[in-house]
Amino acid sequence: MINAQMEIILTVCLTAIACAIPGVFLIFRKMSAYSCDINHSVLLGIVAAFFFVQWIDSPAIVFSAGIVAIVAVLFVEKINKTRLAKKDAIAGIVHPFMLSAAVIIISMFASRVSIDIDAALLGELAFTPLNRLQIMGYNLGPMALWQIGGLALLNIIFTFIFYKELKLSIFDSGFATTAGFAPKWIIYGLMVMVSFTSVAAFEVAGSIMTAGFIIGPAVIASYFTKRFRNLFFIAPAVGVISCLLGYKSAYLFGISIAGMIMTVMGAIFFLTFLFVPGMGVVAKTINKIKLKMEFSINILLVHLWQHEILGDSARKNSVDSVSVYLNWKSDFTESIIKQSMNEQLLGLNTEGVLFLLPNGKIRAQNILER
Amino acid sequence: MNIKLFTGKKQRHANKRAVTMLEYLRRLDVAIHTEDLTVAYNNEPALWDIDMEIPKGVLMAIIGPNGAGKTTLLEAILGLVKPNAGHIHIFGKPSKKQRKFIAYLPQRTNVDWDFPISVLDMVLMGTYSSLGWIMRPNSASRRKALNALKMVDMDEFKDMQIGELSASQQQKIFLARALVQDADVFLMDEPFQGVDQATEKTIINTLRTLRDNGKTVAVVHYDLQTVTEYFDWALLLNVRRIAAGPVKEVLTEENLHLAYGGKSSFLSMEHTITSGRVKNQATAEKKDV
Repeated sequence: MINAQMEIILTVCLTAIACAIPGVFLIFRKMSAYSCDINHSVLLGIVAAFFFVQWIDSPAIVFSAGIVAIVAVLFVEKINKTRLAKKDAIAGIVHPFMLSAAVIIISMFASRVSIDIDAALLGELAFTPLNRLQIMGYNLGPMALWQIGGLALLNIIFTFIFYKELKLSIFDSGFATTAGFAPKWIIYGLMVMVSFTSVAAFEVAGSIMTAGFIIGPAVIASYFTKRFRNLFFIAPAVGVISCLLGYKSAYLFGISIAGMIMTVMGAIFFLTFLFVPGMGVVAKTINKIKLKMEFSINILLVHLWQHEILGDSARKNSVDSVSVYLNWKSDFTESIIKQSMNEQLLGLNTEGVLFLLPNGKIRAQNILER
Repeated sequence: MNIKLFTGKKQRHANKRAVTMLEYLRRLDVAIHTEDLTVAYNNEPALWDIDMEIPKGVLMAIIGPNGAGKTTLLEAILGLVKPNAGHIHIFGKPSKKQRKFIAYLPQRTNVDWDFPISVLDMVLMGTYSSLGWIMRPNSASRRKALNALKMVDMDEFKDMQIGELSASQQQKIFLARALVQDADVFLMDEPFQGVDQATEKTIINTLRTLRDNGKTVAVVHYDLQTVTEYFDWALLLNVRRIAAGPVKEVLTEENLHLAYGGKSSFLSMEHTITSGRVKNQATAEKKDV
C-alpha cells in the first residue's frame, strides 16, 4: 500500500509539472482561455477517440484525443474570426455544448465502459495505481504515471529547445515574424503541447481540475519573480508543493485528492495574492498609504515654506488654520503634522505657529526645484 | 470579335524577364520599392495601388492623416499583413526572403510591458534573427546589446524590468533592440510618440548616425512641424500616394491640401512658418560666415 501511495504522489506531482510549464506561456500570451477551450473539448476528444481506438487507457487515445481537442479549439477560433458573436459568449455556449455532448455520448453508447462521469469531471487519482503498464509480463508501474511522466519530459524538452522562439513569439509576435521565426507555428506547437498535456492530465485530475493545474501554478509563480526564465522553476515547484500538501490533507480527511490539491492551490494563490512582498495586495496598500502620507507631508512643507516667504505665516501656518486652508480633515492634518515633527522637518513655536526646521526647508526647496 | 486576352506562355515569360531586368537596373540604388500595392481589411482598402520607392541611404518620413495607411505600409513590407495585390521588393528582390535586412520598431503599445523580462533581455531579442532557430544568445550578442544600450544612454537600466521604465525609456530600448539587429533598413512606427524632448533628440541623432553610416531609415511620423528639420526624404500618403521625394518637394501647400483636405490649412501654415524659420537660420549662418 505504501508503494501505491508513492505511485499516486509521483503521478500527481508529475501532472503538476507537466501542466505548469505550458501554463506559464499561456498566462503571458493572455491565452488562459485556451486552456479552458481545450479542457472542455478533451472529454469529447476522448469519447470520439474511443470510438476509433476502442482501447481506453492507451497512449493512442491520448494522441487521438489530443488531435480532436486541437480541432475543437481551431473550430472555436474560426467561429471567433467571423466576428458574428463575442468571444467569451461563444466560449459560454460552445464549452457546455462540448462537455454535455460528451456526457450524453458516454451515457448513451458507452455506459458499460469505464468512463465514469464523476471521474471525468474531477478525476480519480486513487484508482491510478490499479491500471498498470505491462510489457512482456513485467509490471512497470501505473499507466498514468508513464503517460504523464512522458509528457512532462516532452514539455520540458520542447520548452528547452524552443525557449527563445516561444518567448519571442509570446512577447512580440510582430517582431518574431520579422525576425523570421514563424510565431504562428510556434503558437500552434504550444497549443499541441497544451492539448496533449490536458488529455494526459485528464485521467489524473479530470477536465475541470486540469485548467487549475495549468493556470494556477503559473499565476502564483508570476507574483514571485520578474524573470521569465525563473517562472519555469517556480511554477512547477508551486504545483508540486500544492500536490504534496493536498495529498497529505486528503489522506487525513479521506476525501478526493485532486479536489484537495486544488483547494490547497487556491489557498496558496489567495495567500500570495494578499501577502507576497512588493506585489501583494497588502504590500501595495501599505505602499499606497505610505506614498500618500509622504506626498501629504510634501504638500504641508511647501505650504509652510511658501507662506514663510510671503510673510503671512502667523495667519496661514498656525496649527488650527493649516487644516482649514489645506481643506484637510483635522485628524488627518494632525497625523501629518505629528509625522513631520517626528522626522524633524518642522517645529511649533509658542504662539502655536508651525515653522520649518532646516531639514524641512531643504526638502521643500528640493520638491519645488524638481 | 475574338479578343485575345493573354499572349502565349513563352512570350509572357520573356516579357516578364525583360521587364524584371530593366526594373532591376533602374532600381539599383533603391532599398525598398512597392508597385501597385493594395492592402485592404475586409475589402476596405487601407492602401490603394501604391507605387513608391525608398532610396538607399535616406532618412525618410512617412506622413499622412489618421487612417492614411502608414502603419499598414510598414506592415505590408514586413509581411505582417498580406497584400491583396501588387509587389514589394527589398533591394531589388521579392520581399519574402529579404526581410532579414530590415529592422522594425513597432508602436510601443504593441507590446505587453508587464512581461517579466529585463531591459537587457529585450534588447538581446534583436540578435535572435541572426542567431537563427534554437541557438542561444552568447557573450558576443550580450556585448552587442550592451553597446546598443549605451548608444541610447540606457546601459544603467539594463537589469530593470521593462515595465518599470518611463515611456521615453521604453522607446529607447525599442530603438536599441532595432540597432542590435545589424539591419540595412530601419522601419519605425511613430518612434516619437509620447516621448520627452530630450529623448526625441537622442532618437533623431541616432537615426542620423544610422543614415550617415549608409543605412536607410523610414519613419512613420505624425508631427508635420518637425518633418523639414528631421528628415531629408518624405512620402505623403492618404490611402493613395500623394507625393514622394525630397522633403521640400513633397511638403507643398497643394500636396498637403490633397492629403489632409480642409484640415491642412493650419498645418501647412505651420509648415511655411517652420520652413521660413529654417531659411532664416540658414541665411543667418551665412551672414556669420
